[in-house]
Amino acid sequence: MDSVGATPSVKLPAPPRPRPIGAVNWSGFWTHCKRGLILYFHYAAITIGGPMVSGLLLLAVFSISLGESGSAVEGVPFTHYVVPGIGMLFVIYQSFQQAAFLILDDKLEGMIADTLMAPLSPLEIMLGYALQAAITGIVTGGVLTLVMALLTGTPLAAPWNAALYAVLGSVFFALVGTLAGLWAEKWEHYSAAETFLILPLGMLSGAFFSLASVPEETQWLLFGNPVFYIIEGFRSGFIGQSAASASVGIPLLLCLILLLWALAWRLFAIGYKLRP
Amino acid sequence: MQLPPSESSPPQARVMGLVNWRGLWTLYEKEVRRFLNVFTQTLLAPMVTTLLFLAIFTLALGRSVQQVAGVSYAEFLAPGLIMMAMVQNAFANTSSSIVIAKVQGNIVDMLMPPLSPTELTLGIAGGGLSRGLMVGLVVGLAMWVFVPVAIHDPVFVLFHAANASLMLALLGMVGGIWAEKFDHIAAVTNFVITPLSFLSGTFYSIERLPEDWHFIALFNPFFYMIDGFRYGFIGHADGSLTVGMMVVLGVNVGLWILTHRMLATGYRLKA
Repeated sequence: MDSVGATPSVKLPAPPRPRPIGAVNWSGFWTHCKRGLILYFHYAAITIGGPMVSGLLLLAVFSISLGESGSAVEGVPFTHYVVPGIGMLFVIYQSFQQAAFLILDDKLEGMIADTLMAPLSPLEIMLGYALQAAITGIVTGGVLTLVMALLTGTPLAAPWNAALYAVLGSVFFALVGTLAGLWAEKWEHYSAAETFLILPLGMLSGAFFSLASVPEETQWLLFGNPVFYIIEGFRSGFIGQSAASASVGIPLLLCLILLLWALAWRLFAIGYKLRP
Repeated sequence: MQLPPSESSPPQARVMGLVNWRGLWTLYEKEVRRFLNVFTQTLLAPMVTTLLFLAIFTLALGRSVQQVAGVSYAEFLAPGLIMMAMVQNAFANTSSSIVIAKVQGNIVDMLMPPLSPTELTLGIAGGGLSRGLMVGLVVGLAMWVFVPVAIHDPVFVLFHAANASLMLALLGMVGGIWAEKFDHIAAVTNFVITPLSFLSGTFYSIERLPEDWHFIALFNPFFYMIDGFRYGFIGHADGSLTVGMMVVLGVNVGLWILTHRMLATGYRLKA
């Protein structure tokens, strides 16, 4: 036996080093995005199936109501006209809901601390919430649009146009949802934002009716609604024509997105309603 | 040691007759206050949604569909939309009440008090019925501003408003008791209640459907509710009014027995 006081000569492993993080914490950012996406795909029956049923119901109800008198709108059959409108509505709603729901749920459950404590910059946190929401909006609305287009034989005149406006619309409303999620303190606030802001903006945007069917003196309602440009642009990707000019729509949407982005970034940076 | 004899007698249990009136009223009051507390979500939100539906359908179809069943499209649509709002809200009220209570565990507060299954059914379904009727009133008044609908026969309006709300309140209870988590009840809403309320003649006359589909309407209680309710306003019905009333009453009796049975046996409520 060795003497009692002798220290065993064990070679300790080197202590773990923190992962070097460059200008962007890519791994952390992706993990943050992935969490929302996992949640979304886990509840696919509600997040994809629900809008699918609602969208197809709206399409069915419109087609049956019109019946034989199914007159043309702006020279195309009504169903071809309304399919991109319904599809884009669900891109918008899903993007908004995903962002706002996730942030508010994180806040109410206290899980937001895990995100705020992680080595993520305010910009990375904000972008993560918005990006995953925009992706879910494109998936939900994209799948629905595809199914509806196949059922009705809607053409796809300019696919890149459709894709461009799908991205613009989903990012726009993912940012709106991010702001709403930050602002809301309880579920009532969330549903108030949805009922009194998002729903009217979406429904009164020309998704279902053409500019020409609105009385002249109320047409400003459409021109003042950014969703009008999103939907008309998206529709031009399918039927190849649009009542809104792209040279107004694209700069307007880009400016608004930039504005919302800057606001959301600033609010995350100062910890608005996040930190005491 | 001996306690001195007490002067006052110990408190006695409240004497209840055949019906626990106070308990029943308390349960009903709780159900009603639950939705009145968040009236922006439960009364104003349906109003906004319904008015938006009215706007988009009249704008999109107004020019092509001039007349339905002898009235303007807006007049035809208005009663259907009111009915749709009523049934969706009556269902949402009872189903959410029960599912939330189950998930949070406070369902015991409803099961432990001295309330019989009949009283439980009455109290909870009464809350859903009240929500349906209140939503109907609010939505109807708001709609009347834009579409001045006249009431042709108030008996049919009241009968179908009350029975439809009660039917969906009971369905909500059945769904709520069956559901184990929120996504179960969301699935029932998405895949059963919404399609039925959309496709049962809210937006179009049943004559619009292909001939082979007509028979489906004849087995659909939602069709009779909407048809009868609309008759109360515009004085025209697609189906038979007597058959409609009997179907609606029959379904309600059946659902009542089912709900009562579920509460009495404690299906998915008691261990």
